[in-house]
Amino acid sequence: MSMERYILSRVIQIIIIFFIVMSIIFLLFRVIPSDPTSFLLTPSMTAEAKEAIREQFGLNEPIITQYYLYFKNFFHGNFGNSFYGGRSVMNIIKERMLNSIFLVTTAVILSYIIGITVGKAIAWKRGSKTEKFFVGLGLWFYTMFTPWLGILFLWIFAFKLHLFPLGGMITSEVWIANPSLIEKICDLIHHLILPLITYVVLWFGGYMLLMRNSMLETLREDYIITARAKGLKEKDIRDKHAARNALLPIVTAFAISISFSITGAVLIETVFSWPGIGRTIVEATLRQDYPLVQGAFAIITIVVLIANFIADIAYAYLDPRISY
Amino acid sequence: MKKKKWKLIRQIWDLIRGSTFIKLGVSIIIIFGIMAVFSPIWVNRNPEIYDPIIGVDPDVHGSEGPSLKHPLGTDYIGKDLFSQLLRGSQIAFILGIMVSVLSTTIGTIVGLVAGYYGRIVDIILMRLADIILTLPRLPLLIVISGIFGTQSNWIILLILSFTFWPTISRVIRSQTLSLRERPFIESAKVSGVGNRRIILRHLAPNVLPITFYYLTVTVTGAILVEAGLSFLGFGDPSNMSWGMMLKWCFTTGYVFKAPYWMIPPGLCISALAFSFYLIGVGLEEIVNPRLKKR
Amino acid sequence: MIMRHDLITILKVKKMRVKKLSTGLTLLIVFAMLFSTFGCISEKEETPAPTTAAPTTAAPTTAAPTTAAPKVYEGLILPSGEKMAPMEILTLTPGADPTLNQEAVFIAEWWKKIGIDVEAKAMEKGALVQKIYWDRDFDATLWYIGGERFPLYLQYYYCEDEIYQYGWNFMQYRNPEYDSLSSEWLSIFDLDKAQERAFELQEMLAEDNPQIPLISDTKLTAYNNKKWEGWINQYGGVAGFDSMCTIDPVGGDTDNDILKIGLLKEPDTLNPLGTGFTETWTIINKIYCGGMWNPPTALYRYAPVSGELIPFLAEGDIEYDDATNTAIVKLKKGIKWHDGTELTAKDIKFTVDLMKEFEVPNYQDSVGFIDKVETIDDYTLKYYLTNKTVNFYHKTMMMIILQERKWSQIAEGARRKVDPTEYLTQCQITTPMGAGPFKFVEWKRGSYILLEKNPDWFFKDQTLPMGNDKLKYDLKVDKILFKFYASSETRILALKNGDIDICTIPAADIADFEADPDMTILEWGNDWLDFIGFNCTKPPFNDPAFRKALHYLIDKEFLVDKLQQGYAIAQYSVIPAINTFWCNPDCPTYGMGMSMEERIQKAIEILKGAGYTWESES
Repeated sequence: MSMERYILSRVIQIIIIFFIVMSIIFLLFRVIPSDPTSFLLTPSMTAEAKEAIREQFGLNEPIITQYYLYFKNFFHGNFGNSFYGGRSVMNIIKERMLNSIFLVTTAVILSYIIGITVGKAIAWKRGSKTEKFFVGLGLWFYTMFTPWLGILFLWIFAFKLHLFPLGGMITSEVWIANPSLIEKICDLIHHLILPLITYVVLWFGGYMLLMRNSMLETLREDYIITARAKGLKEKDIRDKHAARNALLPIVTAFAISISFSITGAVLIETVFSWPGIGRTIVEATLRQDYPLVQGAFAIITIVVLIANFIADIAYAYLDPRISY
Repeated sequence: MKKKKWKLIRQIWDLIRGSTFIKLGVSIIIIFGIMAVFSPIWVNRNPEIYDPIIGVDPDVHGSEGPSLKHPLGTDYIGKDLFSQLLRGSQIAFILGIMVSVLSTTIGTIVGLVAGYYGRIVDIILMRLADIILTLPRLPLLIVISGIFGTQSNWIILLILSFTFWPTISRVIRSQTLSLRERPFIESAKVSGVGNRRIILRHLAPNVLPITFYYLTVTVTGAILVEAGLSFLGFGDPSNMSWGMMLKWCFTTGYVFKAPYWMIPPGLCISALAFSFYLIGVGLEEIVNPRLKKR
Repeated sequence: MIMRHDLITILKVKKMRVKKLSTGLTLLIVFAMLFSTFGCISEKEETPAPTTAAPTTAAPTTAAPTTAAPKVYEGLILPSGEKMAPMEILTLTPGADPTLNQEAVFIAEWWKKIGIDVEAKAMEKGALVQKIYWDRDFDATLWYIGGERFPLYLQYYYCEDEIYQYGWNFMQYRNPEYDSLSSEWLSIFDLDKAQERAFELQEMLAEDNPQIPLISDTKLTAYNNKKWEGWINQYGGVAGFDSMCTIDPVGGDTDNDILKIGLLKEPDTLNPLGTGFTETWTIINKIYCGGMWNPPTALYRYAPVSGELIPFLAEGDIEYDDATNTAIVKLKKGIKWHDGTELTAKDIKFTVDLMKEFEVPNYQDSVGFIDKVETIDDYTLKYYLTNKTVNFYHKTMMMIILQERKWSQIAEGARRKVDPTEYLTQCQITTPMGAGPFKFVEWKRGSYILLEKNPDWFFKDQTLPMGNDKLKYDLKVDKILFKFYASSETRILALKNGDIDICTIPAADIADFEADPDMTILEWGNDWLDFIGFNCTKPPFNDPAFRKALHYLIDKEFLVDKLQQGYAIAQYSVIPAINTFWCNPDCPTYGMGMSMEERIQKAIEILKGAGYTWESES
């Protein structure tokens, strides 16, 4: 199979998966045993008013009609309106998604750089105490309970030491005073640092281990042995030969980890009051705002699908050994 | 026979002794195991006071710090935190192990079947795995928990197993694919051995090392995800898992006031998850020769 | 959550050696055995726990152990001869409401003591509403009620008209006598007579027990006493409308005094027609006139502390004509909208017409009985009612007022839509136009909402009596900044850090805040109460004697002392005791002051009298 045909088949598969996943999402939200309008009721409503609310959300339509409308609206970029306040779901998601991407991409890039650097170094020192220590440390943070560490950091750095704000994305007081662009950016970064640190501390271990393992496998390859035999400098072998090749699988992991991270940010966003997509999904689920949950969920799924696709293609492109 | 058994145990012992990671991991697990076993003993002395859900110490007012009667103090109603912690270790073990056994079993079987039969079976099963992998895990769990309306650990267990198996089956499948081309499978086929027998007798034993790795690593995932769900408010309220303990500490406003309440469950979640992952990494080093010392 | 093996899966498949297979396998077996042992032990030893627990029925409130071994009652048998089926108390999850959840857990424990098989079951709010309001598929539920200064629910919660599927009377309480008395109550305008009747109604409910009132909590609000002073502790809270118009900055008035308030939820919209959310109303109340939750300040309002109905935008009393069911309301002159135009009777007529035309769901109880409204002149309105009801005073007169100039355009747009009501209630109002003390400035989604004071507010520098004092509405707050926090912990830290000026705190924080010289704590009674509602159509819950016996078993003092650490009031009437005018203080206090032993004795006595028996007896 040629590369083109491989890509084509992946595209077709992804489209099929997309439709199935979207149908699953649709079904998920129709079998709900609870009444989504329950939160909108106030004592002032009469019987007719309550019935009208149910109708308003199209809950009384036959399911086939709902299914058809669902896809039709989806391709028009219309996810309906939120049960709360009637804002367009698409607008809410756009706004929240940007916030999430801002936090997550920075965090992933940073943990990548740190993970790869440390991973490279400890693979070289295979079997030493340093290696064991770093692997243990990385794993310890990697398996740490995210909100717990977040709260600890918040308490130490924000509350006790007053180094960082107590969450949120911006300082309201700064923004209402008509700040300049630079002030705005500084303020954003100030808020970004603590969730970022938490993120990196928690996740660098995963990339570190990945890099270490990849590196160890590369070190067994013939060309490294040849390089050794040629008497090249250890540092050169490590950085120029081994690390470069070991990076291959890890670079392709990048796309996937970003998509994973967006969903994984749920806990960090909750702890640090970060108005991102993860927190949106939690809040919307808790108050049964189904159009919003459905929309957010669909968007996240699409992002994951695209990222997986890119990773597949990149991997196929970078690694000639793959059999299509 | 007896001698053989001894040899086996010795072998395991040597293995564990050889790997710092496994040593550390197993010792942490043993500590928690003791806690889980000790739980009923601690509670049954006086369930009126020590029951983790309904036991209330009438002499306590509000959350009180550690004392002789309550080694970890009490929560805001006067429930013993130590017995909650003990009960939590039981739940973590049961939930973690069950999720990991269930999802690893499903994953291994699906992987073997898909890899061995290939063609349409492979396509269907692997696309199914793809679909589940595509659905983002934590949001999916949140949505499903929300949909069920009531949360119980059984539902959490099922959903967790449901979302964990595709990862495993993918790896097992590729492993099976390469094994299928090996001469010993070919010869078994030629000599007329049935498909089921080939899978069970020839393929399954060969993929078991990977299965073990995932068996331990999935426990970590299950423990962390359950705790995360509980923290977000989607946990089983009728049970006192560590995640629920933290949730209670949060909802009643004791996070920064009662370190004796906030620190132990978080530490336990992290430590138990850590220990299982350590064993996973240890196993990986043993079974993957490329990671061994030069 | 990203797992490393997810990445591995997709990227590289390990070639693993088979050599160490046997060792790995044994490892697995050892693990599996280890774990299953734990599982078995815990399962086995857990089951006998309840039975061993049952005999030692030491009352949770009384520390002293009972001397004689108390009798154990098991397997309640109904008068019909059947064994009572297992029952559930439905309630919210601890995340949604920890107090309700724990109340259910303990009440289930107490009810078990007379041989009922009962479990507390936690559900999400939507699922719970579906079960009790829609499907009517429940035995008993823990729920809350209140929030009305004038407790109209005394009628609609218990009347037969509301038994239909989505109706409010989910308990399906049927009592024709109560129905006629309560609907009559709605047309009694004389306050003293109305109070008398309300007392009577409450006594009937207390006797019949379709629901058991439990407790209502005492809220704690802490504020930074170095920033603002003069907070008014009144019915419904501290940081309310009146406080924000009257508080003074500590250390002198400047031109830029910002009041910072932390909210746990972001408001959903600024459209007053489409929301019942309390967070939204705390903001909308300041911009518009009138509203939904306490304290609405429209044509009329409740006086700051005493709670009587006083004119606000209106001038003088309502002239109600009993013969024709018409009312004349006069408006103050010179009330300005935020854009400088005058608020006249036309705007009010427009609002009522709009609500009627589009059948806006949230306001049907305010306009449903209004035939039409006429404007006699710019400052006088005449209402024609179809029937005489107190809703006119307590709903219509408190209803929000919309500006005709702005809303006639929106209504015009709505008329052209397929679903006009949906459009009207869901349209986005980016610049709300009101006549309230504060103007809308900016909403940064996810972060804050900023309001600034309206110097032309009609009530500026005027006073209202409050006890012996006078409350001066001098608007010292130049700006209000509402900030959003994801959790109450961070909000409390923000208060300590000085990022916000006031917020409610849990009982856990009292000692901390009392020790802080910058902080002052105010206590105020919540006007919501928790109750257990029974499904009054399902045996044995249709038996008043059975319900009364269950009422005796509930140790409300325990709920107050332990669950709320003393910051609550035990309730015996369906109207919270904080509502001193309407709450009947003489409702029977079932089991007050009794020990658990006495409570069980009493319950058994009642049940035996009604023909119940026990399996353990026969």
